Amino acid sequence: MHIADVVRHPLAATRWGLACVLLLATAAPAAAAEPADDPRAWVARMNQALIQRNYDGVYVHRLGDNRETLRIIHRVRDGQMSERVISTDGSGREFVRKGSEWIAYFPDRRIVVVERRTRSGFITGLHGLGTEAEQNYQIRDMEQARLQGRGVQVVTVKPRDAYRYGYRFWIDQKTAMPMKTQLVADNGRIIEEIAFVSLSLPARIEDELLKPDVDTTGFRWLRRDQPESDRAVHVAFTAPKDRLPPGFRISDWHARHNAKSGFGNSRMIFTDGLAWVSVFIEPSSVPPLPTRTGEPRQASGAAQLGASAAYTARIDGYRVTAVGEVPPATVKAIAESLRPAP
Amino acid sequence: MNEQEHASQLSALYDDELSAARAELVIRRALKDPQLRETWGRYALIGAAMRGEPLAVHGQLRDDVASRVSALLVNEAELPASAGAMPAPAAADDEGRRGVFARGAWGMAIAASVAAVSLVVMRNQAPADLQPAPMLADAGSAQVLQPADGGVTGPATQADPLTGELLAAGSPPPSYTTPLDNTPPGQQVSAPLVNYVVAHSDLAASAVRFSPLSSVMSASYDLAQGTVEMSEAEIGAHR
Repeated sequence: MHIADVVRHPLAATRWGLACVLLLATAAPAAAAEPADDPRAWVARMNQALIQRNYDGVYVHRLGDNRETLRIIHRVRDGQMSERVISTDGSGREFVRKGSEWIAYFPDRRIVVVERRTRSGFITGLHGLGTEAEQNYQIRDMEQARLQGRGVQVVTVKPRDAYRYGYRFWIDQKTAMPMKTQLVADNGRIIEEIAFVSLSLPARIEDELLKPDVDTTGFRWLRRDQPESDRAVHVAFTAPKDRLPPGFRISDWHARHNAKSGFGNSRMIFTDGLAWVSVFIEPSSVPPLPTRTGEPRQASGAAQLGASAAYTARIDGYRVTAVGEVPPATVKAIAESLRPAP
Repeated sequence: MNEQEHASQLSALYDDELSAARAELVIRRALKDPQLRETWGRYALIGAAMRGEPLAVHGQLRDDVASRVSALLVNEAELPASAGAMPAPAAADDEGRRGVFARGAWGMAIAASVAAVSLVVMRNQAPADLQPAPMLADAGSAQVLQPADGGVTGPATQADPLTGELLAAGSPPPSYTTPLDNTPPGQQVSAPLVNYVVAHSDLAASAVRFSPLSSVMSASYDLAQGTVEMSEAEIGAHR
């Protein structure tokens, strides 16, 4: 089937999906060779499968009460990952990645947005399981189940408190691909979920399948740059451990030398071993952009974007924004924990 | 309201997620618009397909179903509002208002009928040649495996792709797309925040990396904010 048929006719996409209902191929020899009862090993296999395998599937993305069906084509060749994601909701939206360049096509708004990102693909696994993570999460005994007619290993990573979310994976026993993935609050509420309704693992994916099927004539092309909030940050911030949520620590910070005023850190990264929170710092003298309707925005407060919670606080003349896939209380606590270093 | 928004509304109606007033508007529009009726039929098919309902691989069957869906809508639309199976509200003393309600209620009945007919047609008319694909279908590349138990001609109960739970054959169809913009006014996200979330997503342990591609996510902000216009040379390099 030509990809254009998939994009223009959701039915065709589904038919294609049914024609290869759960097409799973090239069973992972490694999966059979390793101990079957170690959830950590299954997570590692899943991470590897997502990075190393070609796959082509249709999945349902659920975020809160919203659901959307997308097709994803993922290819790894000569060490480079290419990816194409196609929305089947009728908007014609597509997303193409080549290496670190991500291009999003919005035919419904006649816009193309180009971004640069550094890490792996659209669907991620779970990285960081280890001693530190296990102080904050409990890796539950695995269950075996069936999903879409396939044998799956269910791995549950349960948070030990309410400052972080948990994870559940339904990992195909033969291919180690995550057939379903959930981000779950401590009360069991599903924050985000992806569930494949069809999946194939072709040995080869042609270039043609990775090209967008969008005529961009007359479109606006826009580039989204990485934040440059360090342009006027002259103060180094720190976060005293006793003010941070339990289990979180500073993992990294980005500091650049400023010839006039020395060092300032514009971005700090916090982790509990599995969850990550970024904190961006900018002078509060820089006014936030107005809303779409021209109204002033709140300079501080909470926001939610997808599974990401955000909280902006004003500290010592700076605007500090924490962002992460953690409960809102966690980003708030982290943002408010920051203090200028003595 | 553009075509996409109409389709989105129709989808929401199909998923029983619209208020009564909004549902009535959408139904009335669908009754007048052949393209929306076609979309409706397609949604019914997709909903069934997503649940693994038997579905022909021939375009002919698809067209037949769509035609029957359209025909049903046309026929039902010709019935007078008073002939609806749903009673008018007893408290409605305004005649015009009662008529509107009755049409809306009748429309909801039509919606249910369309969904039911679509599914029944698909179940009953799965062609004889719709056989499970071979275990190894593509010698050149992928191994093609059928589900280990069931398949496209599987049992009357189907697994919900989202929950893994079994659904009865007559269960209401799960949603495959829903209204997108549920962000209350005044809670739009600032452009710097969008850029922060995008930058952060390289670290995110979320199931799916944040991307403005997702209309679920992009409903709450302006895609163009926080971006810069590219030059012709840059655009040319990407074409």
